[in-house]
Amino acid sequence: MNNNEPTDIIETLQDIRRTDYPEIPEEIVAKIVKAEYETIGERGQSRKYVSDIVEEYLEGE
Amino acid sequence: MFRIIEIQLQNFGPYKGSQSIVLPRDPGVTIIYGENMRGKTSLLNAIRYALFGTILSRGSRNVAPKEIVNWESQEEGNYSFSVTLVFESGDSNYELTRQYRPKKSVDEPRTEDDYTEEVFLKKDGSIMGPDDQTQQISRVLPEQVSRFFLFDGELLQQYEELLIEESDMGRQIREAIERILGVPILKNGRADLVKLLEDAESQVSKAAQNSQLTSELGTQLETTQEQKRHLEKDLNKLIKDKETLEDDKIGIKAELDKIEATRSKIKEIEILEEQVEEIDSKIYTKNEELKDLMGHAWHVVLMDKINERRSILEQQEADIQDQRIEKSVAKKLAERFSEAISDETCPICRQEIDSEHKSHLDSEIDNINGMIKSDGGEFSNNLRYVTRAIEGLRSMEQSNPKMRISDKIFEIDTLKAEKATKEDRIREVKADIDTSEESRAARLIRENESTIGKISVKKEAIQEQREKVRIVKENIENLREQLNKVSGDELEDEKERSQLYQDLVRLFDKGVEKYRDELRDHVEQDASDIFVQLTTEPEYHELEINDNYGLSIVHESGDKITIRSSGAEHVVALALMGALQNNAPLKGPIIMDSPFGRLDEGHVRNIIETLPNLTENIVLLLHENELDIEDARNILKGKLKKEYSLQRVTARHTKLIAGGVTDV
Repeated sequence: MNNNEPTDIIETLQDIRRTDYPEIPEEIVAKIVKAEYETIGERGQSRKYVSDIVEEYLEGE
Repeated sequence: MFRIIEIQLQNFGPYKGSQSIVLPRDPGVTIIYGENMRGKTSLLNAIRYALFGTILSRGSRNVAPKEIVNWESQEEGNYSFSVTLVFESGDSNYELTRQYRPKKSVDEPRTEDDYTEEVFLKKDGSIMGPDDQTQQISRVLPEQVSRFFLFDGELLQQYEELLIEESDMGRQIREAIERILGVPILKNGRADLVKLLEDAESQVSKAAQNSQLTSELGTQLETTQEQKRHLEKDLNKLIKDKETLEDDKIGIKAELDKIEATRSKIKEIEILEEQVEEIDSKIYTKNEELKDLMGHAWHVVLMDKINERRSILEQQEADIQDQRIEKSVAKKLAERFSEAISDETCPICRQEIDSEHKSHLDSEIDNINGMIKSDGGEFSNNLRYVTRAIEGLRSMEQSNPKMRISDKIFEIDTLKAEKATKEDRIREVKADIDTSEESRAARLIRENESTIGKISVKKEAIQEQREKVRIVKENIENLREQLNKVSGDELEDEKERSQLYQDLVRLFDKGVEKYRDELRDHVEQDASDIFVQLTTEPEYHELEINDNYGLSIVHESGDKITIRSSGAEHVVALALMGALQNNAPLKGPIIMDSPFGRLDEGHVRNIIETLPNLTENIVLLLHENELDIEDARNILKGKLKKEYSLQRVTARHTKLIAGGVTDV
């Protein structure tokens, strides 16, 4: 754990995803965490980013 | 990595005029030496002020900025100050300036309202807009986690609170720890997903209402969702209210701690006043005794005469005693003479006594009897008189009041001196306290009790509200299942979206818990490793973490060390700092003010050796008693990158000098 990226958080979530929620796409999890990390002081913005990530995935299916 | 490059000061605290510190870009340690009251804490505050606009005094109390303007500058008519922080974060360079100056319409500012504060941030040479700059600063170093980068011994002491379950201060620190470790990334993600799930469910219920088949269930679902939203809103308000009350409680406790000193001073005065009363009573008693002694003081004048008279009487007594013995011997002799006359034989030589000798003996007997009879009892009377007189005189001599009077006066003087010392102390303590604080303490104690009561009420209400939310959630789940059965292939898009959000919420829920557990394991391991390097006690084996991130020392026997010295507390806190730096996504400098005050030489050496491994950018604000400059150079060697010293010009003016104390 020695970095400026939330890679540990992503890794933790991916571990759970693989075991308990394999139907959740891997890339969505990483994208949501990065969006939250980059908008940590901007709560309104982060929700919009997360929504965009999910909608983009649903549209692409 | 957030790295401070330069701190520029203008009339900030003791730093009169324009002064600056340039920190090395290479990883390593900078030491700034200064005696007490030269401005070490002001440097820490300058950084804090530039970043967050706050200035802290002892006890983490906020100081009004107008108190920071350099005194000499104020006397010269300059009431402004500013701090500029030059730093880099990520790939960008920043220059943050915060200045505090009187409003243009004010010539001589008196209150905070007469001042204005301006902040501007340059990023890679371009000035940022006000909203962007606030966000940027909070991203570079959020104020809530600044305690892990800018700290002093006092702040380190607070980490003991983490070992106390249900401690309000502990809760605040735990939240700050989780913030630096990145937990809010997950918590914010979960909060966003919960809100988006609500929207997605709302879309499902709305879509369901459009179909005849599912219309009723859709309406029920929407109503129940609305109910859930209200309940959750109330629940969140209750939680927030409880946290506000807990924060208030911390504030009240801090205020009580602050006036605790005054309360103990008032207690000291009460004790001293009682002691003065006791001394007064003793002085009164001694004065009465002295008066009594003074009643016999005339004895002193007669003492020589008494002495002389006693000697005469003693001589008389001796003479009378001699005469008594003489008469007793004579009487005995007369009796022997009578026996000899009667036996007509000498009792010594056993020869016959003739008539001539008999006649001579008769004559001697007559003489002796005459002498004995001539006394007529006067002898015994004289002796009794003389003996009594001697006894009386002796008793007068023994009760000689001269010595006792001077002893008594000495005792009274001693008591008076003791009283004066205590009265001086009372004056001193009284001058040092604000008497209005006693009533304030009583008010705070009442407020504290009332706040504790309110917290307890809120806790119960939260529990009840949670139960209500749980029941509504169950209802929603049932309705959703029914809707799924009834709707068949309809509402597919809405249901897919809702399902995805639901799974994501659950994933983030589990993620928060798992990440916390992992963090605790990592922090425990790293803190243990650092602690073993820092401690001088070889039997201390490791640290054990609790749910609050509080760390206990574990002895090699496996027992936890329950009572820790303040030095051990300090070392554990530093180990925690190091572990947090290791595990946080956010990396920054460590700037420590007088961090070694409570530590012995061995611990200081261990810490100095270990510090460069904790982070790249370390600034130590030290006084020479904490760490000798030669020792620092020997221990750090090439890792010591720069030295500054704080040189006194006047009590209100300090100069920052590049170079260690011995170089100045």
